[in-house]
Amino acid sequence: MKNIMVLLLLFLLLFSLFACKKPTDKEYNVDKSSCNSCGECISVCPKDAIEYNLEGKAVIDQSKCVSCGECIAACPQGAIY
Amino acid sequence: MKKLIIISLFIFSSLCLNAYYWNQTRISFYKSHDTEVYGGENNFMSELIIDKLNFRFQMNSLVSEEGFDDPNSYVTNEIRSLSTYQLAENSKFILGYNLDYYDYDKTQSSFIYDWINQPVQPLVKNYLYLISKNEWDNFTLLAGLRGRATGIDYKFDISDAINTAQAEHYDEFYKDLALAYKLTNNVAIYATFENKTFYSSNADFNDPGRDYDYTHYGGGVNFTSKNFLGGKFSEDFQYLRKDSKQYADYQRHNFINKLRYNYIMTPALSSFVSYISKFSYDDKEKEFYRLANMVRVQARYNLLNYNYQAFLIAGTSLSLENLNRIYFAYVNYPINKSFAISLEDRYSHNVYNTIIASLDYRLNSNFMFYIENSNSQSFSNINIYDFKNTLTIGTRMLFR
Repeated sequence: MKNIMVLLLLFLLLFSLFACKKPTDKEYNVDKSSCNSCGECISVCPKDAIEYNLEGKAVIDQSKCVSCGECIAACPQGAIY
Repeated sequence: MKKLIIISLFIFSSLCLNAYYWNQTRISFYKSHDTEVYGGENNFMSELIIDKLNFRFQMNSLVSEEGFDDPNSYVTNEIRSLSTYQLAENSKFILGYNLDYYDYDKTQSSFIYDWINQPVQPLVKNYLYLISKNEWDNFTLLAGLRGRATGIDYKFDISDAINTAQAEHYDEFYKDLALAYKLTNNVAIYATFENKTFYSSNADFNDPGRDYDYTHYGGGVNFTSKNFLGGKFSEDFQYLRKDSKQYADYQRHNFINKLRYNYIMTPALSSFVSYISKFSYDDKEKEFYRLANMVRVQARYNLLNYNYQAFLIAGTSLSLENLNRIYFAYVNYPINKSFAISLEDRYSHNVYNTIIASLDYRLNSNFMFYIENSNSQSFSNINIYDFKNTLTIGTRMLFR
């Protein structure tokens, strides 16, 4: 089971790094395990595109986000990737 | 005056109940190449625990001199309240309400951009949410309703020039559902559903080009092991289908892979590495796309054998796809039973460097006083300021 898991993960890692194309637009996301719900990203977003989800973590609404990167500079946890 | 009365009432109730109380005041100095601006902030938080009910109330007031044409100049009042009621051991309800009120008369500098990139002054934001979490046997069900209403006004009267009508408010209504089933002690499967309905008070803004409705649904599998190659391991793989008129074709079929590995090297040294990768499939072009990914490596070292409050945390967070690199280090060290110092440095390559130093004074187990200074240097034009210094004075109190 462990060996299968390691091989599967290795495949996923290599696949996502080398077999995928890079899109023209950037997409930013929040690492929920690192987010401390401080709300700094919400207050600086010029498109009002970030809000708390059910777990109280910040989530970027991709339908409004323009990938300006202001939230990256504001996040004290480095949770936006 | 109203704020003082509300805070006094909470402190008074804190004295009678099981409660936690925190207050801090911040003075900030911002500097850009041609502007120097002062700002202030006060944060108050009180948490009351009454039997099965947990109530949290938070009030933030933020003031800044006008100087930057960005959200760094503002007069904002924020009220947050969160109530959690434990109905039974495996069932709870959460009711939350956030209110952000922007003092429009005092400054017009805090704005967002609307659908056609006109600068908009948010007047008030209301965010209400109701969540129910239930667990039985191997099932966990999370259901939620969230509503957000934002009142807006236009900062510049551009509408005459481009001859378009203006919206007065826009509202978003979210419906969430998540169901998880534990197959074994190590493996769980889950399904999620989220829908957002967007509504603007101006009918012109509800046309398909400005339709911000979306529906996300999908499922995933989660694996955890407490003894995997000598450490604790968790892996989560999820497929998420995203439908919205605002999404490009390559954003519709998403695959999210998250793994985390914790390893205790010695009793004093522990570490973890986590990796998140998000890629998608465009079914029209038959191509896979790399959307975003991040590697985070972090280690913690206990500086004293007999006191776990003396520690050093250091690590890095690398976002390979979006070329973002952050390095951080944090030291906390108790000098004696009353005083503790901490020092933190966060460096984001080509974006900012922030150094935070603080001194804590603990009078007893129920009362703490702290003073903190944060100094941030910006290297990019993302931040409106080149330099920002913030001095914070705060207290924490616990009543039992």
